[in-house]
Amino acid sequence: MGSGSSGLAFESEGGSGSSPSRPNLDDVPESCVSSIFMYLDPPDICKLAKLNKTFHGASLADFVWETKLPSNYKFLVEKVLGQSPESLSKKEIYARLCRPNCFDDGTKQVWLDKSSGKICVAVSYKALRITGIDDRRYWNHISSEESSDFPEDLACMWIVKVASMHSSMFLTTCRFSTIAYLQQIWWFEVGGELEFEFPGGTYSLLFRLQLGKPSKKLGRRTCNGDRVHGWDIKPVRFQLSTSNGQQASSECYLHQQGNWGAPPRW
Amino acid sequence: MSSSAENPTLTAEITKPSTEIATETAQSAKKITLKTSDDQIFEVEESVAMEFATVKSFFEDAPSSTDTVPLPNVPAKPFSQVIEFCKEQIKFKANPDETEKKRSNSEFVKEKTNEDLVEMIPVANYLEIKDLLDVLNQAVADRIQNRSVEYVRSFFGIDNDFTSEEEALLREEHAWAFEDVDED
Repeated sequence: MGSGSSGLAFESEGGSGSSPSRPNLDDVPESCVSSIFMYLDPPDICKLAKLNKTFHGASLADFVWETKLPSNYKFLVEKVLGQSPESLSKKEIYARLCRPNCFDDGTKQVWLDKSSGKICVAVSYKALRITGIDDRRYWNHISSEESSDFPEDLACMWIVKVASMHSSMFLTTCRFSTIAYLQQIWWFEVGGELEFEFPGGTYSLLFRLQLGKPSKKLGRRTCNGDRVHGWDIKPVRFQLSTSNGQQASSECYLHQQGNWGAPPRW
Repeated sequence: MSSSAENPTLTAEITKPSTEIATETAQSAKKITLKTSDDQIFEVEESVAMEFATVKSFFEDAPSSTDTVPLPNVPAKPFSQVIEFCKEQIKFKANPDETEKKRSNSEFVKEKTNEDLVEMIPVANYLEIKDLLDVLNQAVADRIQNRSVEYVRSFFGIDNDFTSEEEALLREEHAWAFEDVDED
């Protein structure tokens, strides 16, 4: 790979005389660069768009981004961006779908994993049926902005992330303004439905929850587990079923305090 | 692609009845004479030359032509490598073997320097050799992915032609792609 990177002195001898010129892509049409982009992932394409004007032009080609978008992107543009897919360039669509976009009155978010273009969905507890959720003796609704810059680190947010299997990387920007905090209860159930058009593939489902009350001490996020009890008596049961008849379920004990756990993963 | 290429009125300058060619023509296969931008003459078997869509359509327009076909956008060095690829490629037309073809293709690019690959792309594009383009694009993408902007500039031998204002705009345009990613 010719990694003698300090090659100032060697330049003139290296080319065996007759062809001193470096390879030059000036003659290569933009479309060739676009074709190379077909084989790269979106963050790489965006980075290389800064090379020069040809590369930038090449990075705008619809045919490049069409292959990066999920097959149901038209559905997403209409449902989530509320626009007609024809009114935006494919690159613009990709960029806008990578940001978390709310739908169903802000109780759900969808975004694309920007490297793979795969769909991630998060569901707030507000879109779920939770036993006793309106009874203040049992549950509080905590504003996530109050105590943390990173609302994801707060207690007992029920989030269902539906993401494609291959990647476990998610944007930090998945957030809702409030989360549900459980005071005390004997038992409870959480249930919900998600009506959404997913492209075929393998997905994983995560439930996000944390044992303990979050707080900020001296600028650091901590978690107070003093009042956590009873979770060791019985396991929590998680289950999922899809409209085409697939089912999954698992049981586990929750004992890790302070961390956002995502117990089952299918 | 709409350059000065499509002018087939050039017979005069083939005054080099190249001697090394004469010995080869003993074989029965029909040969086609091609001339590169740096005035090198190549004699190529018809079956190989027909892999070049551009050359093929030249003969479709003038089936009985025995003229030398000029390739004004094609320098000799990358062209000889392109021929090497196409010779290999037509073997697989006779008996298709996808895994062997893949192996042969990756062998082909593995031996090539970055410069070779970059020089072959415009040639393959001009000659419209789709299989080769696919192979080259994949190979180049493999070599530049996750590399720095500076590395890729020198890979292609290109310079930055943006002003600093334009660069700032570009950063803004692509900010979404570089926002923090967290692990779940």
